[in-house]
Amino acid sequence: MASLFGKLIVLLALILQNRGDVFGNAVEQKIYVKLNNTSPCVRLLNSTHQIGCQSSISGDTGVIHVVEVLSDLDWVLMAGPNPPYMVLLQGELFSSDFWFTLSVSVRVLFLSLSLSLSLSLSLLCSGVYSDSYGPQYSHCNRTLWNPLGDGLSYEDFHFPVFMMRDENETSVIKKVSSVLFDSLAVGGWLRHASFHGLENIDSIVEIGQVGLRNGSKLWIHSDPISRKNSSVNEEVILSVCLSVCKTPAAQQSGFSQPLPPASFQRFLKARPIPGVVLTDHQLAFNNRFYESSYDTADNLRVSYPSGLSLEQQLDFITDTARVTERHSLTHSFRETSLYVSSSSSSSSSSSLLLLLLLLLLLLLCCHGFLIQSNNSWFRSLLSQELQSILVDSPLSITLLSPPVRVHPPGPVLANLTGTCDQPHPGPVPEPDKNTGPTKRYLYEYLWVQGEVSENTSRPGSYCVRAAVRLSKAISPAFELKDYRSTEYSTWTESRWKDIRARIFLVASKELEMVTLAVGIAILVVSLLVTYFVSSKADILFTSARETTTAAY
Amino acid sequence: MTASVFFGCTFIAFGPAISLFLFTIARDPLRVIFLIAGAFFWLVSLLLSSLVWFIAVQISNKENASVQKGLLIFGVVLSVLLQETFRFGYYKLLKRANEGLMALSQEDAMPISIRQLAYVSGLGFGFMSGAFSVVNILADSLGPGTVGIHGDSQHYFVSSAFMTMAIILLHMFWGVVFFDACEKKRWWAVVIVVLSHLLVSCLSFLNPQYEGSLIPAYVVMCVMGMWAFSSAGGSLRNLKLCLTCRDKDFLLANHRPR
Repeated sequence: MASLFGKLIVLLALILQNRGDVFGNAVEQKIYVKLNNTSPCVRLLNSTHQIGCQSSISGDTGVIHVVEVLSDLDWVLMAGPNPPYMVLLQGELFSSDFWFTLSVSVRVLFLSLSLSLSLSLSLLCSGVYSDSYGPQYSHCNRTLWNPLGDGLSYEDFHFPVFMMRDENETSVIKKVSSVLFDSLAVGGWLRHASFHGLENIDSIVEIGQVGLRNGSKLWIHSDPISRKNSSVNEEVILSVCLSVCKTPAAQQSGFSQPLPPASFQRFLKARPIPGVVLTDHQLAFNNRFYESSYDTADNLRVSYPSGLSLEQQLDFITDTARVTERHSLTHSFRETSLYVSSSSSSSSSSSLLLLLLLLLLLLLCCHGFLIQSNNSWFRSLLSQELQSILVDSPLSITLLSPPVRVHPPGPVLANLTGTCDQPHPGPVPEPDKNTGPTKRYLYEYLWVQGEVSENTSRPGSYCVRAAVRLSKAISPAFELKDYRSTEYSTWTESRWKDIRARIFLVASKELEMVTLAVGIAILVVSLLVTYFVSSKADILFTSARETTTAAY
Repeated sequence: MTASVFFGCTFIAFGPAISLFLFTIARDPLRVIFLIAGAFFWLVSLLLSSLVWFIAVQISNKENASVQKGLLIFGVVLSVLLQETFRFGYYKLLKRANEGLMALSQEDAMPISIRQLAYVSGLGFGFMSGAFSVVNILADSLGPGTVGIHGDSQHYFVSSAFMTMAIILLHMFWGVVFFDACEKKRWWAVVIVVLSHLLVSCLSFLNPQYEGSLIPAYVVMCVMGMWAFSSAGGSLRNLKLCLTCRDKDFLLANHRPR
């Protein structure tokens, strides 16, 4: 009997719990409005500093206040009677001074609507140029690359910041917004091993930001310091520039102009390698939204004629892409696309061909990155398991996500620069043995699923051999366990499982106190009454029918 | 809504029940046992009625709001009927148990009278019913927010607590009246108990018009309270005697053994 009761209790508990899962907590839904479409700012640390935002250990709560003009700011910072405040910033009118004022105030817990933030100036001014190498170019003495950047990505805030991505949520509540700090580690660190040792690199052509050309001009930058060496200079002019400079509309930037921020600088730090960087800007960036969350198709002026289906758009060459050039992938990729010539003698025609192929690559795959990644071409490149990462929206690549997010550029690059090795998947051939000392593989082999057309059930799959690598952007400082390294980046991110914001009403203090007072009063009164009744129970509960009570 | 609302609502909902338990039940282990058994009987009735409702919901059209509302009403009615059935079942069980205990024990008098059992079982029903009504709401009242952002009334917590208090006391009164009616074979009284229970439960469908649900519930509670008081042997005369502190004279005058 007891075990039966026990089973009934367990069953009841299971049913009730099931009900909770199925229907949700109805009371909680009456109280809280969850902000689902937000991007939080996170805490980043390196060996000496911390940037980004954090909240208190159990979260922060504050009264929402909209700040649209500067006078609202005064109210928040001084006059408002119920600090702390959750500030909602709308519009892009505010300077970094404004942010600084807010950031140091103890009355502010911060939510903000989207602003266009830009990478810190100081980071763009670091690189290969230092006091020992080209001091006249260090600290951006010569050229300010991103004058619109306000450096807020690298500030340290003592409160949480969110960016609201859904206009509906903002308008319904009218007071909520947060800023996404795109504070990923600057630049991925390229593993030297991927390039078989730096001494095997002949020259470098780097394609930087090329999407926003003024009048279809393409600028070629080189490093003036390394070109002072005559052999390097010869190599740059003859080998590299000969092929690249033949590209129509290419123009060299001045000889005394330093290199723009580029991955090439990191290579130069190790060895004076001949190379150039191609960009759409001569001096300052053309892209106002460099490394900002507003770096989108609209702002890059990517537009397709109306009425085109998705597949038609894929084949359409937009104006921006004309003259064999295409939108920059700098902000879509965390690392710029890089073409490295590893052979000792490179013919100019093959270099040009490869360069054009690369540009074609940019043309074709940008639709996938800027408009919609779930298109037929991407689907044909990725295997079944990886296709779940393709979405019906632009695919932004963040290294913070699981690494699977970074996969699409790999197969895309491989398909466009590699050679088709076998018509059908077969055993992986013996890897090429490099004659160099490292004996690493020169090529990677990739199996491509191919188009799955409606006519044939079997996809036309094939194997591609390409010199495309996927490297984890792990700093050498961590591999060397040198956590205080000044040579390599030591940026880390403090991760939390759940970063979210919600909105609710707070009851007035009077109502709360009245409720508590009433509760205590009722408890006291009922205790008194019960005591009275129980002590007089003999009297109270006798009746005229006394004779029958005994048996009762 | 923070701790003050949580404690306020807890005291409102369970204050009378806790004081009754403390002063009248806690000292007697037998009463405690019967209280818990009564609570368990109510729990089983809830389990059965919610099983039926759950199955009905699963096989119904979940998109249709009016069907779901109809099923909810059906669930409430079924639950009330099952609760009263289990109350009757508990009554029968207690009668049998008491006869058995009498046969086993050496004493002449029953260790606990049916009237006391009626009170204790009613209170047990009330405790469990109140717990299920309000514990979920109390848990959410501990959080920082209050109801209202979607337009609901801000008095949600307080009115739920008052309704729970009414329900607990009502269950106690219903228990007393019900057992008394069963003893005296007054089936019309049983029917009235069931009907009043149905009335109070269906009043909750008037929410969030809390005036519509709370006031009639309290009216019913007062009426049932008076009825239970007289069923238990109380009368206006006794009340007057107690209140005017003339009880000592009454005792001396009557001088009956207890």
